[in-house]
Amino acid sequence: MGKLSEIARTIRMSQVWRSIFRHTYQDTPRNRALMILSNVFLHLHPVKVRPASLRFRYTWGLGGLSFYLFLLLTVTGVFLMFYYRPTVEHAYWDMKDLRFVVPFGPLLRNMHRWAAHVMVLFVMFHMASVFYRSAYKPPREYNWVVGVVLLLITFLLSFTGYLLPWDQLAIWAVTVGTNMAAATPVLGAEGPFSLVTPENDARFILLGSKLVGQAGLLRFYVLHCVLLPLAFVILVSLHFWRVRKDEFSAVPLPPPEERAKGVRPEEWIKQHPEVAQQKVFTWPNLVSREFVAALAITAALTAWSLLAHAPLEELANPNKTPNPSKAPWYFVGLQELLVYFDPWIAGVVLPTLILVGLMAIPYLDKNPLGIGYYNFRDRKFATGIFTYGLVLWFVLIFVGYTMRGPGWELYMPWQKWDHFRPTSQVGLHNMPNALGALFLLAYAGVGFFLSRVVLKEFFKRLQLGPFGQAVVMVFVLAMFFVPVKIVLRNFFAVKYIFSLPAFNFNI
Amino acid sequence: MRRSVWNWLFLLSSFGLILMFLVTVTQDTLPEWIRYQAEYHRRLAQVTGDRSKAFTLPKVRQIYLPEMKRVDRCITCHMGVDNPKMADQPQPYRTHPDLGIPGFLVKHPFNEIGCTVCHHGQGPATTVEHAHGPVHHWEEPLLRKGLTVAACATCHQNTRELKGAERLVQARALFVEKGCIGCHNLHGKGMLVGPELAETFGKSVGDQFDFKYVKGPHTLINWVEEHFKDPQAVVPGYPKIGVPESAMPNYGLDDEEVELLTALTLSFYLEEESEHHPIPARYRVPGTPEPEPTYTSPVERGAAVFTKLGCVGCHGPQGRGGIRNMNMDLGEEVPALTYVSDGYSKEELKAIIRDGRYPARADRHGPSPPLWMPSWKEKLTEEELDALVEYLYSLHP
Repeated sequence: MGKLSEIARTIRMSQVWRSIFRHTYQDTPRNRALMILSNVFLHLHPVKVRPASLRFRYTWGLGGLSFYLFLLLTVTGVFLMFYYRPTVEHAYWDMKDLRFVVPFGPLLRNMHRWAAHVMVLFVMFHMASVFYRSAYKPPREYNWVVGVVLLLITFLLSFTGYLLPWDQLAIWAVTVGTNMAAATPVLGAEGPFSLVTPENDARFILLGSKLVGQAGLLRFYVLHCVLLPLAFVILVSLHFWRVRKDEFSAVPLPPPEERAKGVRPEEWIKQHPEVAQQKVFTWPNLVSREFVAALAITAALTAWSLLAHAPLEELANPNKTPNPSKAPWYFVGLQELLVYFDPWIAGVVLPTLILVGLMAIPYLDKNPLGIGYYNFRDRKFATGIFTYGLVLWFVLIFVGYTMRGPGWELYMPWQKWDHFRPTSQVGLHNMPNALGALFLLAYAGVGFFLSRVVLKEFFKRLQLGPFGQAVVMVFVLAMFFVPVKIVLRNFFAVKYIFSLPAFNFNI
Repeated sequence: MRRSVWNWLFLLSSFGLILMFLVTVTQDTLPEWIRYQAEYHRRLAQVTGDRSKAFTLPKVRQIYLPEMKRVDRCITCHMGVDNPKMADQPQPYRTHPDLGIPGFLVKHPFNEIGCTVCHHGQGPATTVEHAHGPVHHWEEPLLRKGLTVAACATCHQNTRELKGAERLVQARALFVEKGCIGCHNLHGKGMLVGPELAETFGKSVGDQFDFKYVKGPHTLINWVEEHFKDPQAVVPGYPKIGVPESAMPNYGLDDEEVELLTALTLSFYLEEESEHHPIPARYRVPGTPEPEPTYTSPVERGAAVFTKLGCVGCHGPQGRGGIRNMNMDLGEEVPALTYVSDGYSKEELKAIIRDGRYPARADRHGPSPPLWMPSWKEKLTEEELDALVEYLYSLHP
């Protein structure tokens, strides 16, 4: 024993060792600080954090886990790249080889697939949790915007990866997705007021072709493995840097008996400024929790990967369209909207509005209450609208993913699909354009009437100013237009409210 | 969460991960095929008396055929296919039989044509379940013994005279006897009352076949076989909303006949060039055209036309009728032709054959009858038409 510790001491005192590890591992406050400060990776953390940010039920670990999943996906993805060739000839058969002959191939592919799904889900949930605890309010507005871009990149990463197995599931999901690009107004060949041909429109830029083929596979591969991860890393560094500079948003909460009396954390902190100053070392308090959370999710994903294989359908065949062809699950909500809107609205305008609307939130929400803790009581309008949007998004995904069968007909989840059931989409009619225009004007008019007259006092309290008020109303009206159209079509058999077929412009 | 919860989570996750890692390593180092290889080597040592053969390192074996876009790993388990000493061993160790055709194995070297070209199944797979099927999303499961003959047509266009493909010859005789071509289209010949036969096995299982009324496994072959046995049971249609049942008459085929016709239908599909599984041109064996028969009388000639066009499919052998046609007047049956000479002049008959005729419905609100008389004028010369009418007149007893 004495000999061994002598050897260990010699190693630790050697120049080589000390050149790498610049401090000892003794548990002293100085070393706890140095653990973070002298490590390029760990120093994305602050040295000390408020105890409130350690509470699991504050963050649910979603942001950190999303990033950990990104790392896991990078590692499994790099290993997969050793076995995968992005050509129409080989891609599918490389999947088969991964499944049957590559050492640990099934584990690699399954982990990559399931982790990707979980990451998309976690990033969305992370955004929701940030919203509900007002962590986007000043000074963190810009970081929320970066987060929305990261959400978009996550979707695109998952979507581009969806094509790579080159099976029926892949090409038809991507066909559905990229056909939406062809419906872009002006820049899509099938969109309203189109100025381009199928050979130079938005879809062609994505696919390098009018159809999903070799050129599209290569483009998606390069986007998936190089360009998008690179963009993600750059933006996520920015994201973390801002979190580090602006501190974690969590604020100390008053004791339960105070809370029961209705004392807001903001008031309580003013009375107890010393509590707000209390901090603990990140190492080991936060780092250990991050580590355990990452370990737990790895274990869960490994178990999932052992139990279920990543889907691989038949070899891609451009001549055999599966019925129904569904987009990846996170886009199925938009695909579901195709029933009610033309592709240029469901696939281009609405997603753009969603992204722009999300980015605008911190600049429109002037309510100073609720920063750093979950507060629904004092921000009913904000949480109400956001929750409505979130529920609509997931309900549409649920309906599209589990309740749509052949011909995009409605089936209950327990009903068996019937490819020969006659269509229910009969007897639809368009509103006369004059009436439709009137209807649209009336819808907008009612909205603005509400905001200017009926809810005048309420909007005054939002401190938006006339421009901000108009912007909020545009987004709110757009959000509620979706159920309006759903009701009009399903209960009044209205296909279009306003239609200019010559310009492909139908609402 | 309380501190202790984190501790427990750490403990459980770590042990869980270690355990699952061990499971994966075991799965990876002891795949299913390894025991087949061990058993093969044991048996080989026994047969040859060479004990050293029992100790051979396991490895995945495969036949890689880039020209045909195939990789067949069947020989990972079926190691004895090319070893004549293993002829008396059970599967999967047995030698590949030569079908009693001298030189068969020499002409079909495994390393040049592989396994799945003839037997189908999933070549890249290394588990019994996935290699043999049926599994989801692999639409060519292993062909059973009685159907493998269909795969001869993949390369051989001369199946009419091919040794070992006698079952296809038999099947073709049945095909003519039942008059399939009267309704079905095949490589541009035949009629469009029924679907194109060469495409049947190129359709996708999930979307283009309704398995609601199929009792057995959801494979294409099983759908086709159950449909041959009782078409209306597999495709009952939706009479309420005007979709008729399967137009295919129920010929009361026995199991053997069903297997023959299934093999034949499959061979029609396999003759076609496939983008996914191409066959190099040098593998193809061209066929010879059928000799043109000679006839002694117009009636005999007419009978041959009657057979050639497949009239028998709907009107029955010698035009005796008895074939069901849902919701058709005249008792829901295709009319018999025995007494046509009583009701029609020769010119009237010719007109009906030339232009076709659509049957009237028994129930005006029911579905339209699925079988109808198509127009034959494109398929017949005037001379053949004369002979056919002569033959129809001769049917009168």
